[in-house]
Amino acid sequence: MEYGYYPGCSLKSTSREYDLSVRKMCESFGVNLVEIEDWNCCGASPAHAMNEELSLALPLRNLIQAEKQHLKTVLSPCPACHSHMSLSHKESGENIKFQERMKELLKEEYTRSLTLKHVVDFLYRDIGLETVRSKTTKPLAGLKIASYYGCLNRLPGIEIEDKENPVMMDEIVTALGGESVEWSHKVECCGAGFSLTKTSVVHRLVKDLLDAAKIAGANCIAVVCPLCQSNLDMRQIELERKGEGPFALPVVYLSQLVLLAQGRKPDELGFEKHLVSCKSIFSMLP
Amino acid sequence: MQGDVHAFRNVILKLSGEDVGKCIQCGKCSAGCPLTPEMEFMPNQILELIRTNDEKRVLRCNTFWYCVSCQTCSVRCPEDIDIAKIMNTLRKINLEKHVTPSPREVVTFNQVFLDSIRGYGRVYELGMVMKYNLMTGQPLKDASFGPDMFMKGKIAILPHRLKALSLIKSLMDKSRRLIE
Amino acid sequence: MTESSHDKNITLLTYSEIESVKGSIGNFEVTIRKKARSVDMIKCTGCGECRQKCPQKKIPSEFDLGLGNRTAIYIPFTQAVPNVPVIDRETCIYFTKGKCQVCSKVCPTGAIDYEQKDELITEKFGTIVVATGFSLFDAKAYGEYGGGRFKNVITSLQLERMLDSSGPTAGKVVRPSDGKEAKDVVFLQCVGSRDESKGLPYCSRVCCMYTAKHALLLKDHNPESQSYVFYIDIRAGGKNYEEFVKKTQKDYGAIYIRGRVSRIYEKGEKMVVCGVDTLTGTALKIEADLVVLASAMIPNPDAVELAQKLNIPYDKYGFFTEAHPKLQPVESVTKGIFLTGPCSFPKDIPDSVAMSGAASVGVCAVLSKEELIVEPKIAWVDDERCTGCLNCIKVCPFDAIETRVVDGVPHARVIESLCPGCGNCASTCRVKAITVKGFTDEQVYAQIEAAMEKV
Repeated sequence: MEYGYYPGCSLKSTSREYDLSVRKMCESFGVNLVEIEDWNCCGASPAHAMNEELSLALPLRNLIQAEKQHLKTVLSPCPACHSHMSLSHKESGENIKFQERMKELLKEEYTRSLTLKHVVDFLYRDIGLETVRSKTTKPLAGLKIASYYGCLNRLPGIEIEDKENPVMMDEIVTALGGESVEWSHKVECCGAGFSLTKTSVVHRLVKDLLDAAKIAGANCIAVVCPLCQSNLDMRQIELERKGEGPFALPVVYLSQLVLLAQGRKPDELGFEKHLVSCKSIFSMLP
Repeated sequence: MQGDVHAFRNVILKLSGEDVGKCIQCGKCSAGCPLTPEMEFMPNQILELIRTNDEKRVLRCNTFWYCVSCQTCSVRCPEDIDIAKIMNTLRKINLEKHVTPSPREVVTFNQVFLDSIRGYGRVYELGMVMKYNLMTGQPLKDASFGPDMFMKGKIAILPHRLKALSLIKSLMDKSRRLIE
Repeated sequence: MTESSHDKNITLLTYSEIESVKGSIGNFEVTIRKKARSVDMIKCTGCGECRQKCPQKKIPSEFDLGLGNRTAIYIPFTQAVPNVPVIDRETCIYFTKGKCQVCSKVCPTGAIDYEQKDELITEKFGTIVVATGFSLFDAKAYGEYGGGRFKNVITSLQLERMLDSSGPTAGKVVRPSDGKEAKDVVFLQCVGSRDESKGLPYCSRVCCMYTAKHALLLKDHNPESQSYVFYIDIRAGGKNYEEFVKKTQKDYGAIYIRGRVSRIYEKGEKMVVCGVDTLTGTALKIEADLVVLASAMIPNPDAVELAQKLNIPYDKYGFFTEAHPKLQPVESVTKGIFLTGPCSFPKDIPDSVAMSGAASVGVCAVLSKEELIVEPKIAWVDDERCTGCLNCIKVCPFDAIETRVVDGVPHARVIESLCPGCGNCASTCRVKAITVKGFTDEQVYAQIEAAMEKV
């Protein structure tokens, strides 16, 4: 199976371990990832906030590139990238004026042939829980995981499942042998792009998230977004430095957990790149 | 409030497709917004100000720049008003009308981010963060994490330049802030 | 209820359903299914031995809305009329497993009849009064309020059962999760109502008043309690209603907060309610022991099915349509069928009682006459033109057209007592054989020409 792959800027830099683990995970399921050639930044929140045409044109160029490579499906691990590309895909179908204007700006056309996927959707629907379960040789027993979706299910262009009480990630975690705890903040905001500009806001929101995870008895948080990971990880350290907590909640990517459950060695999976130590996870597993 | 009392409401309707006239001011948006402690006006108050044609107060406040587009308001609004979209439209009107944005750092960051795309086609995180820190007078912010992140290989030292950079540049020059 | 069951002019058919309705005003032929109770109504004395001895004791009681249990052989509530039980064949051990039969063993009059079957009776009636009431919107639809998962988020109707001193909690307002008495109680108004996204934009009219009543009674039952009411507007348009709400706030300490709640979540033992006070511009959180949802009043799930049996129109929600919203509020469009209570739209007890009085007079007006006077603007068939295609019969929503053989060919014939003059037939007929009096093509064109003259 061949899938187009759009890593996005974060995965090539501060969230390298997400990129690493997604690639290895796809390989383990027999999926060959073909990175989109010469892909550009999707524009993320800044383009979305500052310039409407740019926020649609930047992701659209990537879709055009993918079509030029004859790709059928594009997997993008970052929810924001996935949302922006999905929006551009949607507008391409519904709006003639938009299509004409985009052709003017990008010189090429998008024929809407692609299916766009996010990691959760990919694992749940394309790979399937049965396959995930069958490849789990070292179940994550002992791990009480808070499955954190953030705003994933609410983002425009994404229609995966229930917006208030999603379960896809929880079911994947259960299929990996872990215990997905019932907690109150699975879809609450982490502060997103305010990490650099309004760090105090992120501190406030992240503290609520970490407290809620702790009350629910979690010993680990699973995420599917580079920004969520960074906020919950980096700012957790800062909160502890300010005297809050202690939390001791490693924040890991779902893809890393999938590989761990397949018996892969932790040092191949980028766990050491996280700021909050993941050693507690490995000591819990048999 | 006299004169064309529906003027601003109609501007928002035209640019965002959302009609604030539907709002019954139930407040559910504000009840669920994670950023209300920082906002001068809560989301429901913004909608009321738009409806009563108070363009000045709306464009000068910090509410829409504090919005993180988490979509909680839009998803729960009983009248199906896409409030997050309205906030996004207000950001652009604020820029178009050259009203000083508040908080400034958010716009500064956005500009630095977009400059990075213009320069390389992708975001060169190290360069962007350094530039942002300098421009906001906090050169050492988050510096304590630097060495650790560098050792873990999480920071790309050199930027990657896109082959199609000239297309990206032309795109950024020509794209319009608001689609009418 | 007891009075009406003893009245010699009233036959009370309980545990029965309408099977079908034919005919028209003055001559309705109604088939009724008397469902099998498995108990002989004549032999039963209402002693209650069977209910006492029934081993199936843990079936959630429908009347107590899951807060209490009942037995398999049961009466819905203590004051039920008649005082004759029913066997729930889906949970009864005899009917499901073939064992037990304790009830028939202990019954002193041998009234238990496991072989009893449904009985169909057909009778003629002059008029029909529909008073089928309402249901409550299922707040499971709100994932942000727990989606039905939280034990300590209940409906107002469940609270009503708790406040009843002969109810499942003996009058104590408790948390269903642990049975502890609730101290901090948060009430949410407009759950489902005034919500376009849930398809119910209307106001359910009664909730503001009953919530005020609940907050007041809660204080009576538990002086240590504190009520918080999240509202959007308070609708208190009735005699002494506004004063009542004010009393609840002023003298019974209920805190009214203007703002709709965004979400509810569990934190340890408490329920955290994330709301807002739009009047002060503050988002706030309240940690409650119990949350009460004032859910919307909606039509019964079988309302549409009943409307089709009766041939009465209903609106997009399933509420039965009045002949005229202002001038004929208790009559259905279909002559001879009257509407009362919340089946036509949410309303409270005084209004329901008033409507019932009006409907009764309407019934007397019909039944006391030998002849019926109807509106002349109804359909009629020109036999010279009718080709007998009978398409009009297919499109008539009121079953008001029958066939009559004319010169060996079946022709359409309008049943004048049933036809309200809707005109569906007239617009369908290809040869203009059936038309509505007063609205022939010529008459309508004349109206248009007269109106256009000024333009």
